Amino acid sequence: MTSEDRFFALFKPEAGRLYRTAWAILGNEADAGDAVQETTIRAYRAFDQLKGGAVAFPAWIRRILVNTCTQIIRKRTRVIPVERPEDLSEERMTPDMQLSLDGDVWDAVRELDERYRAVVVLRFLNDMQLEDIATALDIPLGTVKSRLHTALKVLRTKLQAENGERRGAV
Amino acid sequence: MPCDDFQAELVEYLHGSLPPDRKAAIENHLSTCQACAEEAVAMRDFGRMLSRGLREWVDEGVCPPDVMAQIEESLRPARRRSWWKSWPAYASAVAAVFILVVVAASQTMDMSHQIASIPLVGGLATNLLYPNHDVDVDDLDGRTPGEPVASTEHDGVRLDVYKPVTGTDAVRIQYALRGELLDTQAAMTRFEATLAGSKGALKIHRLQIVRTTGEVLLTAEYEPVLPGQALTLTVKNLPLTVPVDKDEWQVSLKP
Ligand SMILES: [Zn+2]
Repeated sequence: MTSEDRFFALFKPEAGRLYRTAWAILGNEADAGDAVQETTIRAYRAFDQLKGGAVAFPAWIRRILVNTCTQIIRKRTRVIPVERPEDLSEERMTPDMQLSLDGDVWDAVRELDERYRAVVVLRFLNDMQLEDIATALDIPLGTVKSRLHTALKVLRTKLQAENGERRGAV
Repeated sequence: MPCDDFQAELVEYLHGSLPPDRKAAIENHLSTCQACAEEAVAMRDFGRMLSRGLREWVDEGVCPPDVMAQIEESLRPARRRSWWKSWPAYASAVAAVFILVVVAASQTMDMSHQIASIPLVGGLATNLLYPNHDVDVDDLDGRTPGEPVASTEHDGVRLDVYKPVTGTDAVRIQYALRGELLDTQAAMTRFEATLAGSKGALKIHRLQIVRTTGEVLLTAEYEPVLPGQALTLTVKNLPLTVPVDKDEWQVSLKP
């Protein structure tokens, strides 16, 4: 087995999760694809030196991914997308994938404005500390707190209105 | 202190790091105020539900086949490409950067800051997205486009165009405006640019604008064209502090 084969054997089971994590952070599938690709290249180049072996791989590559994504967000302040990201993502979406998009939580989170969504995803999906989110997105800690506060208010109104019953079971 | 103020601090109490005195004050209040205690529990539970909902959605994810194919393609040819092997100095610089990352990873769980400081890999990865195009060593560092292949100048403002690269997925072109430029977002949103091939204007996929004082560097990706085609770049409504006579500038690039 070449190191390329070993890398792909570890990477493939993670690819779907990495793709969706990137999508959640970045808000569209076109950027998610780019982020996963860049992450893979970074990880592959560093793969020979990965300590901890197969067990450590998922967390290791996820950290590289989150970092790649936040780098993309930081750069976005000066990126003007000419096409709406949604237009690109529609082209990539197969019927199979559409079927699995019905998560209530994601539907609510994806509707948030970019600034709020990234903070929510980094906190609640990636378990990042607020201080680390501030560093990663290059925004003040106070801004992270206020965005999280606002986002949670919006999400609670939305999700609890939609399925108040399910909340009781939490 | 009214309950509203305590509730405003709950996000930070649950998810952040309050100073010990504020933390103690909140915990003290929660032990005596039922309304706030209930709100704190509801908010904590809501956070857990968010985490669980997002994780379930992520666990169901499938990487689209075209993305997967692109990834495999971008890694496999990279190892065999002659330009890679012919620039050993560059290759070892990348290796050195990664060694730094991995050492950091073995010492602490939080390697995000170390990875964030990699300056080279972004540009490299961008090039690898299009493994079939010709890569100049100058192109590898995305910040320095090299020598312009075409230029035009009016009243102290200069437009430099750098060698476009053609890949299977896109044409990437970089150009810079230098001189008396307006450094505002509003000025840049009026700016227009068209890249035309032999069959007319190309559809643009992405435009990146990096502004510094007196310089605007633009990187644009367009739909692919056949290599060797002549291209014409037309720019309009330049972000100039002093208006010049010309409103529209054109630069032609011979194959
Ligand atoms: Zn109270």
